[in-house]
Amino acid sequence: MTAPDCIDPDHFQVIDGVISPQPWMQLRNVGHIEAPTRAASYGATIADDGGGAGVFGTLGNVFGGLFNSLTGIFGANSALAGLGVGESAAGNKNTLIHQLQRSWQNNTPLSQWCYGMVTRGGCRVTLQARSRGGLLVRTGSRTAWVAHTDFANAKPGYWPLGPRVTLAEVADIWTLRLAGDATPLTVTIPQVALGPSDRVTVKFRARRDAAYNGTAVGSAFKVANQSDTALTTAALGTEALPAANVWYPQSLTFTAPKTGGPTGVRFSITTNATAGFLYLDDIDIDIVRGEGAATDIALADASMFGVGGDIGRGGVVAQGTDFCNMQQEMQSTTFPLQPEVAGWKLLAPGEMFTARVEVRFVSEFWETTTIDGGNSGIDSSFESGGTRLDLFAVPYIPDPGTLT
Amino acid sequence: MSLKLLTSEYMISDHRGTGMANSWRPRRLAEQFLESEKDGPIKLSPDPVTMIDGDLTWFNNTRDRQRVAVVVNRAPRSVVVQSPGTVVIHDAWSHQVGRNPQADYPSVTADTFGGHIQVDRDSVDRNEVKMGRFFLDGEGGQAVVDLGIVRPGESFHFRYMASVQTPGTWVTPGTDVNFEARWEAKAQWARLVALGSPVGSA
Repeated sequence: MTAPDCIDPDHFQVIDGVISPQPWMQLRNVGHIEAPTRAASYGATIADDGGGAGVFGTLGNVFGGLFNSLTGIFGANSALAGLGVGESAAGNKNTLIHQLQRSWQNNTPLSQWCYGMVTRGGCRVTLQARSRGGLLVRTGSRTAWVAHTDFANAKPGYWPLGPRVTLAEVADIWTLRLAGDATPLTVTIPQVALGPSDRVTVKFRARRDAAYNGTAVGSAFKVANQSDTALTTAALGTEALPAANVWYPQSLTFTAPKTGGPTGVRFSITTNATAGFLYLDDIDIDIVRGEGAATDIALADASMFGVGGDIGRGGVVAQGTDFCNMQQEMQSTTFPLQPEVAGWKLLAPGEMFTARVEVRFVSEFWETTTIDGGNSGIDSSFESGGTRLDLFAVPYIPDPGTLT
Repeated sequence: MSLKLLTSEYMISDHRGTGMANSWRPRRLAEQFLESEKDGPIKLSPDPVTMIDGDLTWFNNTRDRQRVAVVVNRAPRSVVVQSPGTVVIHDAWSHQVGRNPQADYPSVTADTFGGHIQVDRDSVDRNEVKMGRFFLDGEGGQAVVDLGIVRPGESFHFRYMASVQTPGTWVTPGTDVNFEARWEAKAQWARLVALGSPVGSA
């Protein structure tokens, strides 16, 4: 028995007359990644750290662009409040401890909501008086429509095959082969939605045989808008592929404007060759949603934990400090990825969600002068705790509306 | 409908019709509220002293595999530390899944709340310690522990323990100091909630 008409095969599967829900019709964990705890200790003062290099040798422009938020974290009374983001605060720490990234591609026929949860293990920060710092967790994500096709195992992906469009092996590698003939040939994959500031990247490699005679005018890989007007193209004539039987890598990018841009994007391969073959392989299409030309995932502060104390002397002219160690331990906790963003990401079939978590030890101030009575017994160290990132998916079932 | 359909995992079909089995719904499987028995002033405790102790079990009597996670929900905690000293509350848990699971006794891990203050060096005379006191109040929070998959006929056993400890340097002020030392720890409570959901696709 196959599925009766009254059953939606996107929701239920029927195998040998037995009915069961499709495995994607449920809230579920779709992937996780974790990193173990790390511990490190620093010298008591900048001098002890050998010019402030720190145990991991990181230093320099601590507050370069990535950390413009820090002056805000510590408030208007912070010594950093007036600092420009490009300025160096001598001796401060900025040590990368964990960087986790995990993706999930919607491999189901339904749209799916996707969200992430971050679990931090128990951690500890110990600092001597006047040094102030802590463990900062930053998170971010991106959504992309992804179609990476290498034609391995004779799978064409989104590319429609036809009498003149076939999968063929050339030099033991599966490729998409377009055959020249009297009439021009075009292969198009279904249109994909495009939104403001979406960035389209296409990478592939092309090769021709000796008989191929396509020209620059009529042979190209075209990225077009919903009206099939070209946004950007890569030529596939013999001028672009001067030698026969040689692979030529090609790439294309297009970034949609913030307003008034195209609403859809089409990818097509056209050739006007009357003879010979054109081969394409490793066609990687990525449409990164809403990031504009930014090439990396933007991160924002999600959580911070630290300690700091001061004893005895205050004020800018005070030099040196008494002996004092402060330490704080924090237990494990689970919190959402990107707590600053409300809602979940909706992924159309084929779209990919990529989440990233970064844990750093950062300081706002690091003691620069010697400690009264020497450094013995001084402790400036941390135990980072482990970090775990989980991704979850929930099926999206649109309102069926009024039945007609 | 009185027609009985053949159904596979996560579904049920009986004289009332065909529908989703209980095992298909993400749901609460078991819950336990545990209270601290040792809140308040403490003394030097180089070895951990148990404050909260308890466990949670659940037997999978459904026909289907279940993915289980335990949410450890902890109360806001607080410690008061006198210099030089350390007061920490360790959280520890362990779990086992199987036919007759018996989780190991939780050993102390690095999942800790607390603090340390030291305004004198270790060598200080106990009659000359300086006054320094660290008050730390933490936010309540929750941690999700993934137990993996519990098959039909299997159970899980989850043990939880919170204990207070005063590791490292500790000086009890002598009679010549003009202040009263205070060391306190409050773990209050912990709530364990086991959540189950069907095994889906990745």
